[in-house]
Amino acid sequence: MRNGAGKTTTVRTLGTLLAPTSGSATVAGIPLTPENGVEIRRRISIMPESPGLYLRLSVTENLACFADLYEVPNPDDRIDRALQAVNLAGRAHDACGTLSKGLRQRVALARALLSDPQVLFLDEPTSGLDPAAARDVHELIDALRRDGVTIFLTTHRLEEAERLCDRVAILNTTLRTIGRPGELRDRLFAKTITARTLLPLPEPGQVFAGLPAVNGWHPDGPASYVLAVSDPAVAAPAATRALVAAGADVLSISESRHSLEDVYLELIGRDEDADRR
Amino acid sequence: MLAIPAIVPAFVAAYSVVGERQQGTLEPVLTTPVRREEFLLGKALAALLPSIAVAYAVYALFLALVELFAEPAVASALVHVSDLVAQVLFTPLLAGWTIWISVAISTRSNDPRTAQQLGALAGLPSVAVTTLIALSVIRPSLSLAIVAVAVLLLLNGLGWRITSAMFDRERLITGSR
Repeated sequence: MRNGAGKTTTVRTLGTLLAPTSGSATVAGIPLTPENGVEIRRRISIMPESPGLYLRLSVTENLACFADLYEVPNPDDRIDRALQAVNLAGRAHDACGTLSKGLRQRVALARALLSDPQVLFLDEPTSGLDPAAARDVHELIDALRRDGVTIFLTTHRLEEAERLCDRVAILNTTLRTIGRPGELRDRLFAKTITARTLLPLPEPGQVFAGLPAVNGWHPDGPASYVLAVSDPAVAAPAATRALVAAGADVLSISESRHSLEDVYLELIGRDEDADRR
Repeated sequence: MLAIPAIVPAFVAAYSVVGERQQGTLEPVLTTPVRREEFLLGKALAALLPSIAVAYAVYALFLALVELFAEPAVASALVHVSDLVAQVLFTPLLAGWTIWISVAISTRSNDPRTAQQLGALAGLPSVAVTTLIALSVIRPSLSLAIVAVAVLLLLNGLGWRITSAMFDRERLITGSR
């Protein structure tokens, strides 16, 4: 999602930091109302885009401060576990001001894990990180997901969303769509398979005509053909048999896969067209 | 001596909320279950306790120096039990009142320096009263002291409630409204 789409506002609203202007929501099983703010915050944890650490305090002191605020039982044990989870046990006594941005993000993630939240909000957790540091954060998020933590992640890196998320919502100041990445692709794009041959087919229309589950085709280069299909599992073998029967040397038959970026650009393109009209 | 608790805590308290906001540590704190009343009380106590300690330490130093180096007649004129009781009693009450005004200013300011300057101004009425008492323009008496304690206790309680009501979480996070 692009800048200004409403990602952070959504996190802050669901995190009870901002009052919604309309609508309703339930967070961690509790209706989102001003009266329920404290109870909701007991069950969730938010990692803001900026870590917001006390730079003169050590890692452990920062975590101890927030363990007190969350009224965590056995805070020392919880802090140790959080530091182990983010691989920062060796830097526990270092001042946060001496840590790199990537390490501060990890401390902020450890802070978010202190209260064992039911829902964990991560607002652009890899913002400003180099690829290696971002990968470390991705692995941590994967581990949390495997442990059953519900994670609400905001990002404008669509490959990150595709990699980490079971369900994706696309915002463009309003909610444009929500669903599993595969569902979003199917909703917006027809399924296609791409067939590549060694040499151009003399009569591709005859080869592809009447094939089961094939709704149409068009050329995509001198020896490449895109077939619109209703079921790739049926169309691909049939197309392969047809090409071989026609004497073609088949280089590859593959299902064309649209990325989440394609989904996003398609939606935004439709928005812009609608705005123009 | 009562000017110290009327002025010193204002600078610390005025930085308390706006300073934390400026360094980016406020939002994580507001995401925790801490209630705004608890948060503000914590900020006030963080300014109050060192202020009281400094005020008492300075007064103790003053007493010690008077006892050690002043002529006996001067020492007996300067040191009274009633003054000691007043210092002990009024220091936290005056500091508390100054602190609540400064914290309230801090919740509404966008800049720590502005908040500190306004907080210092807010301490002036207290300084004026203590100065008038020191110059015997206002003559201290037991009844006046009792009334002053009651008023300051009430002001401290009201200060906490009013400051809590002024605390706008959304405005502090987004800077708007």
